[in-house]
Order: sequence, then structure tokens, then C-alpha cells
Amino acid sequence: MHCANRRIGRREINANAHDLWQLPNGIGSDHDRWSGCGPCRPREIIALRRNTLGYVSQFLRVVPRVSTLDVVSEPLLTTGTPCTQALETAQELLARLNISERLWSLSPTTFSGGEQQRVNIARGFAYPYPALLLDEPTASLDPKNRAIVLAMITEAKARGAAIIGIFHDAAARDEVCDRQLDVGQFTPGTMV
Amino acid sequence: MTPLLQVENVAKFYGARIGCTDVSFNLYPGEVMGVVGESGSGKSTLLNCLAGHLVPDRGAVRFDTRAEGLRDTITMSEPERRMLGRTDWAFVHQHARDGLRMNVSAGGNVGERLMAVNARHYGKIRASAIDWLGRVEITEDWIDDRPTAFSGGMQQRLQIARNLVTGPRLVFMDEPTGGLDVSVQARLLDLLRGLVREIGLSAIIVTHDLAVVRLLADRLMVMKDGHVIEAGLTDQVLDDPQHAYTQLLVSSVLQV
Ligand SMILES: Nc1ncnc2c1ncn2[C@@H]1O[C@H](COP(=O)(O)OP(=O)(O)O)[C@@H](O)[C@H]1O
Ligand SMILES: [Mg+2]
Repeated sequence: MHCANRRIGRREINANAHDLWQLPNGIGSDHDRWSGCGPCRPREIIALRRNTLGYVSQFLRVVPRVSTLDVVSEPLLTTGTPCTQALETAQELLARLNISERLWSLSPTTFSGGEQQRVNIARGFAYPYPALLLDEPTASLDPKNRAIVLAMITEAKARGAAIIGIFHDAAARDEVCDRQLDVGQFTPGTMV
Repeated sequence: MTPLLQVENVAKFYGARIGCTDVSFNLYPGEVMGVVGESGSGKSTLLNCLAGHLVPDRGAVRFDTRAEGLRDTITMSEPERRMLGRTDWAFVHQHARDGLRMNVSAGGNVGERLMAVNARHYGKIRASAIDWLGRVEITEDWIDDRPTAFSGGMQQRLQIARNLVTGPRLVFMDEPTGGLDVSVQARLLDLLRGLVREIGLSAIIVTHDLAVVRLLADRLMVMKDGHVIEAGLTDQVLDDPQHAYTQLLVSSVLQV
């Protein structure tokens, strides 16, 4: 997987804009990061993460007591969007993802799993990254919110984003993926 | 890009005992580096060597000075190093009282740092002090009070204001949230994150709290017995630790 990582970091993104890959979960998913990236120095990866490569993980990790609005607008502030505009975008996204307005000023740390996932997605989609990594983005969502997230993925593709996603949900991957990669063949111990 | 700080094979011994040894890394502008490890692992020794408070026995610590580019801060003259300490570096101590003057007002604590870099205009100094107190969420009506009247979290925020008012490029922090209540810690963390983002600060943060580095640091070094045993991007190290000791460290906290 290190080779794959390197390609993601270096070239593949440009080459495969509009493409969406699907990886079944189990291997590679969460532990599949940038370790072993020969040519990528930490600072290149840090810059890449800040401006180029969005990541929606399965876990929401935030400073306790920071409001949901601030959590979602942070990637915009980091990339230089003025504060009022960043907050506006965050509000739109939260509204679209059906996070009740009374929750916006609260920290998401005590939200339900599905709410946290939607906050995480709002945060990941706030800034229009040219490339995105999505780790089971529809895993704990009800049908209505699942459809909204799939629409957001489709819109991101339409604006040219390259996306690599892990989808358990076969219907979801048939809807949004252009290409599918079964990483089962790379699982250690199952080499043929 | 020139690193802001270039650390090469730094070692410091206390007699026969290792303080820290074989430490090398580059820190680039805007990066936040965390240093974790158990008590006695050499974190503070390293930080003090980098900040010019201790003289290492070996190695080089090069800082990208505004005037002359990379200069070894160990071999430069004491007045030069002291000037860098005022203009380009800041040091946030774990105990606010070590970084504050407790018998001087809050405004004085902040203003004094400005005067040390030759600010003279009283009105401007006071305005700057008020601005920075506001940024760390200390309202203007506290400006004439001494830090002895402040809570622990507030003292720590005052120390941060005092340190950042002169616009340093590199901030050294030794356990900046240590000893504070969890909720006060959270507020301080949020504040530090905002400052790092707005000013593009570079920072080296020593802590034993993995949650703090998870939220604040781009990169992480893990120290044990004076050695750096693992280094990398923070989430890389915390989510996929390679060294047995790091694995132990990560697995012994509830959730970070
Ligand atoms: N002034 C000193 N004199 C002698 N030994 C010291 C001194 N300061 C630190 N040490 C020793 O150096 C090692 C590293 O200490 P320190 O840098 O304070 O660790 P940490 O900050 O990680 O807790 C420890 O073994 C400690 O006992
Ligand atoms: Mg220490």
C-alpha cells in the first residue's frame, strides 16, 4: 500500500480527476497512511493536507468545547477564507446535512454517531479540495442523509475533485464510483 | 525552502547521565512539532537546548535569522542569542509564574516585552497590550491587576499574550496545558490552535498528553531515555506506532 500512497501523493490525483475508487474495508483503510512515502517529506504532506487533500475519517477528533460551527469552518479559515464567509459556508453545509440549528453552537463531542459523521462530512467538504479521501462516508447514516452525502460526492466529482473512498455500501459505490479496486488481492497472507 | 530551525545531532549530558542525545530534525515555517515521552525522557532538556537556555555538549542548532539566514545559535555570542530570544523566540513555561512577573500588572507584563524590543511610545504599547489581552480573552478591566489575582488558566493565557506580543516566529512550549482543569485546557488548546492558524506560528510543544499533540501538532517526536525513538506526522505516529514503546504509550491512554 505504500506504493499506492506514494502515487496518490504524487501523480495519481491529477491523472485521475473525476475518478472514484472504492475499496472494501478491512485492510488498508485506517492504517493506510503516508508512512514510507519516500519522496514526500513531512512538510510536503502537511501542505498537501492543508490545501489539496481533504480527508473524512470515521472518527471526529476535535478540541473539546469548540462549537460545531467552528469545527466545520476551520478548514476554510486555515486556507484563508474570511471569517464571515467561512461561517456562512459552514451554516449552509450543516443545514444541508440536517444538523439542527440548536446544535451549531455546541461541541459535537456529545452528538450521536450519525450526527458526528455528518459534522465530519461537513468539515471535510467545507473547502473545495482538489482531492478527497473518504472513509465509509455513509456508514452510519439514515437513507435521507445518505442520499445527501452521495449528492455531495457527485457534486465534488462534477467540480473536478478526485476522490478515493472506502464503501461497504454496494449501492452507494455503484452510484458514485467510476472505478472499483478490490484490495482483497493485497491482503497480507493471501498472495497467490 | 529554508527550515526555520535546523537541529543536528544535539546532545546534552548531566555528568554521566544522558539528558538528550542524537536529536536531529528540521522545522519549517508554520509547522507545529510535538515532543512526547514519559517524565525524565529528556523533553525539557531538549527544549531548553533549542531555546538557548542550556548549552548542548554536541551538535548544532541553526535558526533562520531575519538578517543573515541560518546561524548556529549555540556558537553565536550571548548578546546575539539574547536578542533572538526577545525578537524571534518565545518560551511558554508550564508554570505561568516562571514566565510572568507576578508583582507587575497584566498590562505591564505584556508591555514590558515590547519595551525590551525598544518600543517607546506609551500609547502604542498600551494599545498593543489591550489588543493581546483581548486575543487571549482577558478583558480590559483586568489590565491593571497583578497575575496573582488570576486563575491558573488566566495566568497561562497572560503568559501567552506576553510571549506573542512581540511577534515571535518560533514558540517553545513546555507542558503549556499541564496542571490545568480539563475544560480550561480545552479553551487554551482552542486559543493556541487559532493563533497558530492566524499568525502562521511555528511551535515546538513538549507535553506528556497525547490528546494535546493530536489536536495541535502536525508532527511528532517520541522520546525515551534521552533518545528520539520515533518521529513522523502526528496521526501517523499515533495511529500506527512502529516502536514498541510508542505502542505502549498510545495503548495506555483511553482514547486520543
Ligand atoms: N539539572 C539537572 N541535573 C542533573 N540531571 C538532570 C538535570 N535536569 C534533568 N536531568 C536528568 O535528565 C533526564 C531528562 O530530564 P528532563 O529533560 O527534565 O526530562 P522530561 O522533561 O522529559 O521530564 C532525566 O534523567 C533527569 O533526571
Ligand atoms: Mg519536563
